[in-house]
Amino acid sequence: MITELFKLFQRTRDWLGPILIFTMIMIAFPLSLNIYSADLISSFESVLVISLLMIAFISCDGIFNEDFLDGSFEMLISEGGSLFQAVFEKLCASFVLISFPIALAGLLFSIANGAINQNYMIALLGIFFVNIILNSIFAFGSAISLNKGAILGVISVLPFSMPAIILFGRFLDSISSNISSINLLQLLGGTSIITFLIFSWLCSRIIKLHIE
Amino acid sequence: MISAHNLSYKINKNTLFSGLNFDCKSGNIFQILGSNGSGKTSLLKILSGITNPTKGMVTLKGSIRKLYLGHKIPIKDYLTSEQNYYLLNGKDTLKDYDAYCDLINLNVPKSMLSANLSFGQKKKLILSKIFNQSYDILFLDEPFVGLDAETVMIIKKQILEMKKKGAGIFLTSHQETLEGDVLIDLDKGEIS
Repeated sequence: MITELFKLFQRTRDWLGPILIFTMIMIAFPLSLNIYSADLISSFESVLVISLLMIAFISCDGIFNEDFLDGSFEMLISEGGSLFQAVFEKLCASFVLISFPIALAGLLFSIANGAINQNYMIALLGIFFVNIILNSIFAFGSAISLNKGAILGVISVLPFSMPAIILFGRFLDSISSNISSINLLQLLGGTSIITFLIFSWLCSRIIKLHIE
Repeated sequence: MISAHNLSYKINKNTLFSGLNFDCKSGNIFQILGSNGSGKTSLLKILSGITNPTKGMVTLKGSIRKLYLGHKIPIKDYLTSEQNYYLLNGKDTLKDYDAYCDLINLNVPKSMLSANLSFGQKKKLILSKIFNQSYDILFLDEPFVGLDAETVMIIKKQILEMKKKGAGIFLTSHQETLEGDVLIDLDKGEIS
């Protein structure tokens, strides 16, 4: 895990790029619209969801390519190492260096745009959990299309992300309407853990198939 | 240590080899010969557990530490040569980076980015694994490609050292190679 974090940290473009793009979208959104702030609030949720979806795709694009192409995975298998663990650690590293900062930035921009007025910790966790779900799904897409280009993978896994987006939309609605959102947060948290584990396993199986 | 039973491998209806049977005992060197595309790399990958054979099976006796070093070089270009060295070998290495560099004539500053290393220098870094960890079986695919004559001698010496300690070694090479105890000629389908 520490090794994967270190490797990802050294590839500045891979983790800073998605954060900067997310920040740019969040800044550009209110600047690009000549509407009243009330309208900004109502449409901010959609922009946040689409941004998270896009950033998840960008940050997972080619997440396994390097280790697949340079033979690291082959060496790991030959030494009896676990591909599942390797995938798990890679995703964990991306959650720490990409998903969490994006969740934090998402929360700050939500506050700045007036979409969230309270329950900040719940909102932060909710954005982080949906990031985990989307990243896990798109990592699976990236694994599927290891030698075919990322777009094919995205198209094939996009339907999996729809329930998460719907759930997250409900969560944001409840947060902005000051309705208790603990149940939805728990649902998001549980779903993120299950999705993360299942898709990590699926990714490891797909990578093994590619290697064979 | 490792046995192959009736191994066959096909790629797109093209049979690379079939009906291979052999046993690798402790301290054996298996030299795999064959022309380009004869299936040398595929055989090594099957034996090391990376790929599955089309038919037949590979049996490992007990818990065996094995390593496959193939054509690909798992060196991260964005890390320094020292960082790559410890990434490959872990923190508790038998030889530290400087000692290994002295041993194998790798004149690379610690802080040099691996993107600036030549193919041979990267290969030397990868081969550090066989100097720092003990393995029961080694699968070496063209281990001497890109290396200078002096380094080839050092690597050969290390391989023979591992053989003495009881490691089984499978290697393919188009160049001058070690004298193998067993020859597998994939072109002729013979094991001698």
